[in-house]
Amino acid sequence: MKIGVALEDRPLEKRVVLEPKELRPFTKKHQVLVEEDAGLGVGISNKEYEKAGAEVASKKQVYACPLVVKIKDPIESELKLMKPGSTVFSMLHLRSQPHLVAILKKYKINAIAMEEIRDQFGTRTIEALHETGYLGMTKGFELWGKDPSKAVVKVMGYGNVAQGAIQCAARNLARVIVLNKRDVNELEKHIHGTDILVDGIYWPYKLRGKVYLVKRKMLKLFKPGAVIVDLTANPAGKSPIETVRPTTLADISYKVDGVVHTACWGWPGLDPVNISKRYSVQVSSVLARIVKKGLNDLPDFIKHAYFEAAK
Amino acid sequence: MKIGIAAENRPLEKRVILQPEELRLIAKNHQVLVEKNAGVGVGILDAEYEAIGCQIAPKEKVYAADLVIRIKEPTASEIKLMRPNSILMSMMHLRCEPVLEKNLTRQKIIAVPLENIKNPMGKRIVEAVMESGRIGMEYGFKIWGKDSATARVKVMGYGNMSRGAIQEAARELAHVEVLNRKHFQQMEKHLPGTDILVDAVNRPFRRDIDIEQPFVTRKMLKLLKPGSVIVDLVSNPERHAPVETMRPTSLKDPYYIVDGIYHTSLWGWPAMDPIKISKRYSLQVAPLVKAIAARGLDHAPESIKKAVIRLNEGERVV
Repeated sequence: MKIGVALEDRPLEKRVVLEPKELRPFTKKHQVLVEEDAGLGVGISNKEYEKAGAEVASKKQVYACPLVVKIKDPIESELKLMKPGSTVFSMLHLRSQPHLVAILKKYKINAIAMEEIRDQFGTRTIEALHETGYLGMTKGFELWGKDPSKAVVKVMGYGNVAQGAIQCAARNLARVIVLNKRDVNELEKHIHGTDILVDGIYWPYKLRGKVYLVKRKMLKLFKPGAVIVDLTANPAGKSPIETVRPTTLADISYKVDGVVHTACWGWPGLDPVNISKRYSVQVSSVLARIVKKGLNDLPDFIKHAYFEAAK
Repeated sequence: MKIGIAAENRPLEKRVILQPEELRLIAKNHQVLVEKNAGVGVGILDAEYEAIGCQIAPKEKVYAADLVIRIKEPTASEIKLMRPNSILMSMMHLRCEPVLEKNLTRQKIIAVPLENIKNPMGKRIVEAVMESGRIGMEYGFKIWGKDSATARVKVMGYGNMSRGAIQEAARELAHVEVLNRKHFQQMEKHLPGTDILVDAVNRPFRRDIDIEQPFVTRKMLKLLKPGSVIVDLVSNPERHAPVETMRPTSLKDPYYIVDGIYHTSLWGWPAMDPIKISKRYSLQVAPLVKAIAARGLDHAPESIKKAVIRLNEGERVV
């Protein structure tokens, strides 16, 4: 099978989905095209990919492959380059991005959602959830600007993402309080004295845009200069914090009523080197199962993540 | 390869390492001996093992296999039943148990400690670390005995073990605060008002030090309200916990009281949830056993090879 490894083409995005070490086993049996300069952001030259047996190719050639692999979800201009009936293997988060469903259908591109691939315990196999929390918290301290060990950090939620933030905050010697389900429904009691509020809640779809745990008028309960870090905000859904909107690597924070807001859509992008390595290891093991018998005979755990738009 | 599945035989221990569903494929290609009543604790009859092609055998035969598998480490007398140069797969935590290391070395056993098998990301493959935290926290609420939503819980540490405890405490609507390294040195400030103190600090292990300075001394216990609970998730038989008055407990007697404060510190928390944990381990261990049985230890996947300690050839734990 011809496999295309695409460049992550977003402002300030430096990651790459597959590194030469993990790609090498594929190049023995398959033709692998790597987009020019795909690895530059993490210090991997085109030559290193060639040494691993891959061909360095143009964007057009890479997207013309029947299977295109990348980290971030594809955008319309990229899907346009793909052949109808071919497949993209990337993060998709389709429920948070209805427009993506529409364009996949429009160009008849099938997709395998990395975030839907799970092991026998239901745990995601391609993920950087803990890292997401850790990186978001690190950014939060940076935006707060004072000595982290003086900070009072309150974390909404206690899942994998939230736990990353908890670990980061505790390592930086901050005071960490975990807010439970009851606490988040009476945040007016808890905002007072908080320097950094972290949202790590998986906010249910049915509540998005309808219920807010932190309303705009509650922002005045924060000290000026306090920071809200939203780890789970996404383009389509609404955050449980009324004033949060997703930000990008290029423009990561903004202020509302004196409170700094940050809600990067794709926190792992902040640590390209480590995250690329992590994804490379995780993605290569799933990719091996995809190409083993081809797209028409996928194992169940991959079929479960398969979005068929070409029919 | 002859494979022996040993029964867990600590008092009240109910788990079993491999269940028939996961053993089926292995039993097709290899001779598998299952110790009598190994699965009874989680409701699996000997007949169910026989139905998939295993043989039920007495202890002596099971331990004489080429590859002996169980969850907890074997006792001294069980190790004596093993043949030199045979392989033992179990949890061992050898750095905390020098006596076990000595016994295995004397018998010339090839050790494959389950806790040392890591995936390419460096994550343990066979583990119930977060579950340990959850189970310990659940038990802490149970002996505390009051409405968990009114509890003030402080968790020392912020690794995987403590994650389980934090999650469980927050789910139970308790007030949860995470204590960091700075706080450990000033526990006298943080004990007042705490209902349940959870210790999940993974202190770097040092064999050269006899007793490390505890974070919570016996004197400090009076700062806690009578009836408060200290849950220790990390204490172990050989070494001293960050809590001076803490010693490891067993399933038979999981807690004790010092100066009016409940202490609980199970050596092997996952044993408290035998059904879930058995299934989990069974799913995690089966692919590893399959690989070793099929290709031998020398040609096993990298993750397994890296974990092997050849005590039979004089290799030592550092």
